[in-house]
Amino acid sequence: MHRLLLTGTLVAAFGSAAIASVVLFRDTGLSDTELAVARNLTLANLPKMPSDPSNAVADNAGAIALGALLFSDTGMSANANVSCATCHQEDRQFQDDQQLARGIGTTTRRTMPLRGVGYQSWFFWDGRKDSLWSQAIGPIESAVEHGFTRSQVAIHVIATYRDRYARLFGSLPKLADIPPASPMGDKSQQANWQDLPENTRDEINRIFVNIGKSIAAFERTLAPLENRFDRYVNAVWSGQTPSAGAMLTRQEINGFKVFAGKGQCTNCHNGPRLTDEFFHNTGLADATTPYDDRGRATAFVQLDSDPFTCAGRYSDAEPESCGDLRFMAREFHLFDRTFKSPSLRGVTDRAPFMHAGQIGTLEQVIEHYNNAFPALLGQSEITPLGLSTREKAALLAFLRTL
Amino acid sequence: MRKLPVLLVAIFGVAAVSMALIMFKPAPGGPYDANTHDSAAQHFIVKFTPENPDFQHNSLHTWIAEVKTSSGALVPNATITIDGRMPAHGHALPTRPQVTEDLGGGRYKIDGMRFNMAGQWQLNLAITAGDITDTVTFDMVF
Repeated sequence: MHRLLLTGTLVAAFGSAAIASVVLFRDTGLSDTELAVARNLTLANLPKMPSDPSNAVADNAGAIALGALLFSDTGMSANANVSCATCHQEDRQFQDDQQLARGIGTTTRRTMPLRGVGYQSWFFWDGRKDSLWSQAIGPIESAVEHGFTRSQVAIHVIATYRDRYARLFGSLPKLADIPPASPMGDKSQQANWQDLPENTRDEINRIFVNIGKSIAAFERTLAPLENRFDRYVNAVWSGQTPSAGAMLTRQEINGFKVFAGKGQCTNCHNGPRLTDEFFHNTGLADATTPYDDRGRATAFVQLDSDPFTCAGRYSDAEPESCGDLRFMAREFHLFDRTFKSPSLRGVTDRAPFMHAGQIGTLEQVIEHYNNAFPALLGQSEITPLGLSTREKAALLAFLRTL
Repeated sequence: MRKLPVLLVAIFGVAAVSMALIMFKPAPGGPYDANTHDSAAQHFIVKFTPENPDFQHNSLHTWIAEVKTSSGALVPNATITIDGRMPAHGHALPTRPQVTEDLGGGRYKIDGMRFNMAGQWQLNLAITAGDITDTVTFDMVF
C-alpha cells in the first residue's frame, strides 16, 4: 500500500511538473509549429563548420594564427594604412558602419559583416568568389581598397612572415627587385606582370593564395554570436522559464510571427544564420550610379576567368569535388541585379542597410519590403505585404532581438 | 476504496506526461517525404530518394532516381534532366543538379541537389529512354 502511495505521489508530482511546463509553453504565445520554425532559426540548429577541401590549411592552428596577423596587417596596402580590419572592425561585428566601404578610395558596395562567413558557399554581395580564401585576396588588389599588388604581397611576406609561412607552406623563393606587378593592376603593373617569367608568376601567385588561405582559416573561427531570440527559444524548447536576459515581450513574439508569416522574411532569411546564402532582386536602386550594378548576373563571367576558384590550379580540391561551381545556376535573366541575402544576426546595430547602404534605417527597410515597388532592371521577387502599423512595429521589435 | 484517489492521480499523471511529450515533440514530417510516382503519361514508375535521408538544408547532396517501365522492368541508358521549385514562393532550386553516374539497374546518381529553404518543394524529372520522353513530378516537404 505504501509503495502504491509512493508511486502515486511520484507520478502526480511528475505529472504536475509536466502540466506546469505545458502551461508555460502556452504562455509563450507560440504554437507547436511556430516553435519548430523558431527553433530552426536559432544557433541550436547551426551545423558543424563545413570543411573547405579547396583550402588544405582551413583548420590549421598555425594558419589561423598567421591569418589573424595578416588580417590586421596594414603592410599589404599602397599607403601602409589599410588592412582587412580597416573595414571589418572586430568591435563593430567586423563591418564599418559606412554606406560604402573605404580603403584607398571608396568602393561601390557596403562592407559585409564576417561572423559565420565560413558557412557560406559564395562570397561578396554578388558571389563572384567561390571560396573564402579567394575572396580574401580580392580586396588586396582592388585599387580602391588595399591598392596593392600580388608581387608586393610576396615580397612583404618574405620579409615579415618567412618562418611562420615556411612552417605551413614550405620555404619561400627568393624574389628580389621585382616591381609592383599584377594582372589586376594599372597599366604599368600589368605590363610588369607580363614581363615576369611564367615560373615567377606562379611562385608569386602561390604565395598570394597561401596568404588568402591563412586569412580564411582565421575568418572561419569567427562564429555567430548567441542572441536573445536564441536564448528565449532554447529555454521554451526545453520547457524552462526564460531567464531575465532571455525573455521576449509579447510584441517581439508577435514580430517573430510577422517575420515567419505575413512578412515573408523567412523566404530568404532562414536557417540559424538567417540567410539562405542565395541571391535575390528586391527592386533596390543603386547608391551612387543608378542601375549600373547588375549584381550576381555579372559574377559568372568573373568566375569563368578567375584562376583562383575551387576548380583552379591553386585550389587543394579535386575539381569534381567543387560542387558549388559545378552545379551553379547561371542564367543572366534570373540573376540580373540580384544580391546575396545577408545574415540578420545583429542587424539592428548595422545601419545603413542593403548591398550599397542605400537605406538608412530598419524602419525604411521594412517599408521597402512592404511597398515592394517593381525593379527598374531585372525582376523583383517581392510583392507588397500589406503590413499594418502595429505589425511593422512588432517586426522591428523582433529584429532587435537578433 | 482507498486505492481510488491514488489510481486517479496516477492516471492523471500519465495523461499529463503523455500530453507534455506530444507537445514537446519536434515538428512532424522528418527530413524528407520521398516517394515513388508514375510519370505523367505513365510510361515510367520513378522512385526518387536522397542518398542520405539526413541531408542538411543549404548543403549540396546526392539523390538516386530509380526508373522502371510501367510493367516493372528496369530502364537502362535513360537521359534525365532535373529542376525544382518552391510553388509557394515562386523561386527555383538554387542549383542545377545533373546525373553524374549511371549506376546500372535503372538507377541514376543525381548530384548538385540543394534546398535553400525549408518547406514544400516540387521536383521535376524529365526522362528520355529510347524514343520515349515523359515527366514526373514530386511534391516533397523538408
